[in-house]
Amino acid sequence: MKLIYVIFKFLLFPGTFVRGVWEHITCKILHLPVESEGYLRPDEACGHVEHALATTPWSAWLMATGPGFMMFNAGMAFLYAGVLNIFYLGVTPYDSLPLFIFYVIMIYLGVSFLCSLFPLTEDILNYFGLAFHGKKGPSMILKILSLPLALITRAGAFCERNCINFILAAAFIAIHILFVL
Amino acid sequence: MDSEMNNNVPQTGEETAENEAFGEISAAEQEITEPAETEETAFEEIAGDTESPVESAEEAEEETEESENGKEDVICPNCGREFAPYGHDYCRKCEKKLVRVKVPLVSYIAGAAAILVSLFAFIVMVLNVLPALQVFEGLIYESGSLVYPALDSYKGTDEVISTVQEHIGTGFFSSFVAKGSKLDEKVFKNTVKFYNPLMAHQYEEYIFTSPGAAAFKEKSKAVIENRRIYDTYQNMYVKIMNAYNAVAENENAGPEDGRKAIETIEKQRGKEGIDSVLVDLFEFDVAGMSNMGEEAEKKYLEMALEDQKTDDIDWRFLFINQYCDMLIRQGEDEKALTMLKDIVEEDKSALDPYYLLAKVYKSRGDTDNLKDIVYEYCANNVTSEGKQSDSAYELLLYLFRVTGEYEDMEETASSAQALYELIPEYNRQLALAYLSQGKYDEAFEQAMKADEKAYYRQSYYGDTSVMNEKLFATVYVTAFLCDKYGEKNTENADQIPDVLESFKGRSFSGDKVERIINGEADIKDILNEGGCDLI
Repeated sequence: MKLIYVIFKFLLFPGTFVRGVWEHITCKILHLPVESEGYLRPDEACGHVEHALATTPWSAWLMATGPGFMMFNAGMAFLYAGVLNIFYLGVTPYDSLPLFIFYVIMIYLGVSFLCSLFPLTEDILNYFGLAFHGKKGPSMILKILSLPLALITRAGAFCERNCINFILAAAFIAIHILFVL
Repeated sequence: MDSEMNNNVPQTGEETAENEAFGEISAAEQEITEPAETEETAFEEIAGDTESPVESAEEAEEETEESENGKEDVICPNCGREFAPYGHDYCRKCEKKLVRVKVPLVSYIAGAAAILVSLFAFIVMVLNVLPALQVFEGLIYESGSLVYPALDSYKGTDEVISTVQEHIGTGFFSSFVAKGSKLDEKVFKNTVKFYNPLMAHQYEEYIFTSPGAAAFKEKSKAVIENRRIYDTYQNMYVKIMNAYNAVAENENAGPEDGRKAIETIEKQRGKEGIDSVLVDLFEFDVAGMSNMGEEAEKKYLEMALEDQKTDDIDWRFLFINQYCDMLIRQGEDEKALTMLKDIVEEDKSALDPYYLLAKVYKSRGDTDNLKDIVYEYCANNVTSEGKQSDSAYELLLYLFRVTGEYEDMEETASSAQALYELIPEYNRQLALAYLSQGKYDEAFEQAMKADEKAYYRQSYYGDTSVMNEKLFATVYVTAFLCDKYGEKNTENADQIPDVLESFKGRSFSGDKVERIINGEADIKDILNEGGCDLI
């Protein structure tokens, strides 16, 4: 599984790299020690930076969801700029080769960014630990408000670690090719 | 578990000098130990799976020693020499060093580039959302077998793209808002479904309008397949037409002429490029034109149905309604019902099969099913503006005519004529709805409006079909009844004598007008039969 994970991460290197950048910048903002600054590494932390765990619920939340937020926005913009034009408006190489290539790249970037959406499992578990089991966790309202996204992030981190996100991305593209195009 | 965790939380008074010097560990920071232990099991899972800092920390944890205050310090996983103070992952030196690790310049550039390009992609996405939604609407209709509304939606994409381009001007971004050849292909495929291969072939030039259409068409499987069908049809047309025309152009063609023509046509069956179903349909036409009788016509349609089973192309749209109508006329309602239900299951936008189904239910007096089928059609045929399609109004009016719900008929016709301003038929039917309720003056006014609209359509659009006998019959009947029973106080009432004068001596097909004028039949009787043509 680790090998497949690393292969896909390298194949989708733009997202992998940028994910690492956002994580690194978040660590800098939160003054968290960063042990390794390499983002493209042949291990299961590929696309992430090795860093010390955050010590407050807020910083843990930011560490777990902040980079993902950036990746999500950029990824959706990339993906749908390509998908709407190729699959819905039916742009083909015959219409304009440069535009077609541009939209294909957009889809690739979108998939690449969205496949690097989630943090490492320990980052989100750290948030759960600090927020739900710590003595000075956030207020009940904040806990409730953050819970859905935290659960999604937890599930997403699990999917990403087990390469399920790559299967979902492939299914998304396949469905569009089969049923929309 | 809680008490266990609390035991690990250092008391303020017990803090070591090292901890104080290292930096004040806030109460919140101290609590980090609690979740860490609470989530021990989960963290073990992580540590087992990744080579993360946590893993390193846990490995280092094995090499721990009791600090002065009784809590465990951990060997720094970075340097492996110093102890990391309680609540910290790294030793003091390493932590300072690691916090200062800079984000490489190339990473900042990559991050900034990602933001800029994604902003650009976002603008492109936003500009294409509306046209894509139009296509999405078409896909939804298509998945529900609504071929016509789907085609309508796909065609509407051009208009949406033009509107977007009007707003953004002809600048840089306008080249990113354009439809492609695949969308043209979708329109083409649906045209083939809705009309027939011949018409689709005829429209091929007009449908493909995107920049790369000319090159794309040569590769498009749908176009190639349709051209093949067209050629097949053309070949057959050339070979069979003479025999067909011999009957079609002979007004006095009898069964014997028909049999000769069919014999000639039959010789073409089985030849390459000749579709058996289409041979059956030509023979059916010839049988009809040469008065060979309904049974002979039915035989050819049944042959077409049989041949259809082994044909790659679904030709049923060419003859199935005719066949079902024939079955209904011959009293084989049940058979027709089964076939019609199959058809409407596949295409919920075709009016004819729904109309025939309604006809069957009406003949059986099954008002519940009649209403169900009409309302089903109406629910599935709503325009993109959320209004009923014109064909849905047509079926709805049929329902109210046969059930005698004239107030509903009036309301429906009134909505339809307001919505479809250029269709005189709704004003005509509104006139009949008024007439059936004894509102003679209103009826005459609506008949005159229908006449006015029809004249307008004929003059400005060259549409001569609207100036037809059923319209004239309606004008005449309403004028006659208004003159006889109306109060004649409406806008056009003074024209009644002229209208009646203009129809003097004129006869209409059928006897409906005559029966009404002679008082032998009420307008309601005519409408209850389902028809409203008055001829």
